Amino acid sequence: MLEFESDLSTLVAIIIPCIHSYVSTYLEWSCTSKQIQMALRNGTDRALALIRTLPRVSAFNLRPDPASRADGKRPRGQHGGRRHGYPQKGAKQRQTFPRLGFENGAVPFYLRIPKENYYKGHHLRRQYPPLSLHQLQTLIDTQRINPSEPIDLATICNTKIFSFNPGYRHFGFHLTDDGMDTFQAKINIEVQWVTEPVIAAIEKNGGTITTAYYDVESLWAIRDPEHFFQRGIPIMKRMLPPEDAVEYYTDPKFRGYLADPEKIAEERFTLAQKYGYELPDLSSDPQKELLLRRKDPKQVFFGLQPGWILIPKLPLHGMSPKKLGSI
Amino acid sequence: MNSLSLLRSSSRVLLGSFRNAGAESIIAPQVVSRRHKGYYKSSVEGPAEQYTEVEKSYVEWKFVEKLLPPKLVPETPSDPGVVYPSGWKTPNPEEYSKLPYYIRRTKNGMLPVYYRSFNRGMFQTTRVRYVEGNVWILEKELGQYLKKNFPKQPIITHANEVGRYVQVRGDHEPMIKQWLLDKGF
Repeated sequence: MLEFESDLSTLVAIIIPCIHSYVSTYLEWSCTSKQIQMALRNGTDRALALIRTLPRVSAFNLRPDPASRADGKRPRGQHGGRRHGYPQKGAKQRQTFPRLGFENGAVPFYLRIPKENYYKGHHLRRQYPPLSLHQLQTLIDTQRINPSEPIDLATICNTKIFSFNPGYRHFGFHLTDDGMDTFQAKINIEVQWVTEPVIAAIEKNGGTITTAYYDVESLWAIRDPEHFFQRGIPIMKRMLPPEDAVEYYTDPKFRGYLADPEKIAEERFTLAQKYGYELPDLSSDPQKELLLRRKDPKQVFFGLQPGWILIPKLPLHGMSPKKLGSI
Repeated sequence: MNSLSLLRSSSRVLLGSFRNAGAESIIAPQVVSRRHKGYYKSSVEGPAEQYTEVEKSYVEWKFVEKLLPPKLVPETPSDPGVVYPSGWKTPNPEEYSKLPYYIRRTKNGMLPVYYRSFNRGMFQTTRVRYVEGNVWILEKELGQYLKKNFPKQPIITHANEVGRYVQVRGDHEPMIKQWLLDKGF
């Protein structure tokens, strides 16, 4: 019996650390010495009391396992310092990876697929972001654009809804035919690219359309006239179109700004015949002056001539009075 | 050694300093170095008489004013219930005042119905914002309307009263806009 008692006491001493985390009621079966039991009870009670005050375990109070994150240090000495994590031989150790696109001797993708030559010179071509007739009609309906004034790039960009970036080789707007059946405005518009049905949709309502070329310098100016005026530099001349654009901008079919006005009048008539509408007479129109107002081919802004400098009465933002005085 | 020091001293003269000039006999003009960033930023060259005369004019300022953008968003037409050629319509109080909810237009005169796709297009939602009045009735009616048009499609709606919006899963922007226009908003 004595031996058994002594064995029991050792057994209890071994078991106690194992069941330390159990709830205190489970400990009562062991009937160990009162001291140990009281100490445990106090410990578990304290732990439980602490847990009750702590917040619940959630995604907000968890932190990652420290071993899950590798530190970015280069291993030294006994901590993998021999090859610093790289293999003993081969491309991975010597960093001699095959060239980009190499497929282990197979014919690589960039040779297997034929060339797409229609993309040739894409970084040099002129681009014209689209502006549909529906969008233009909405701008007029919501009083963003005044149809009783000629519409050009400055008018469209001053709405602050549509813009273009000459840095991306955008050379103005392409007026597209989306919404041409519901287009009803009578306007005088100048765009950079247009197709035949759009011309018909505008001229049917008694309006006029011109396609005009702007060089990059004047595009930057007309894109944001306010910013250009703040620079305090003379208004530039608009350059004539480059060689590959001359054909389009001298074509009366596309109402080019360099085309013969008599030929444009003929084309207006033939287009009306083709699309089957009666061409409104411009000469007897009360808005004749508005509809026939055109810029000079070398003029950037309506009413302002190249070579002029604008000096506002008050210094604008970003423009010191001293600099204005020197101009 | 002498030649080296001479070379050094002559190079310094060009930069505009006469310090440590080896010999007094070396007379070089003082060159002021200027850095012109560009044509427009370069300073004025030569006497003023070289330049053409300038004429001041105030008449053409009206053309400049036409080229300046408006400071505020232009006001939209206020006649109630008029349909314009582009399909844009003014709100009609006679129609929407009977309903228990109200949706105001945005500052641009458009309906506040927004489509959003996120998680690489995995999730698509259409949200009607700026709802005033009873959000729950709007949610119910909108769900019924969409269920009628898309009977095979699950229509999952969600209303947030504090956020003042009703949200539908899927791309229903044009349909919801037309529905709201027909209700007079």
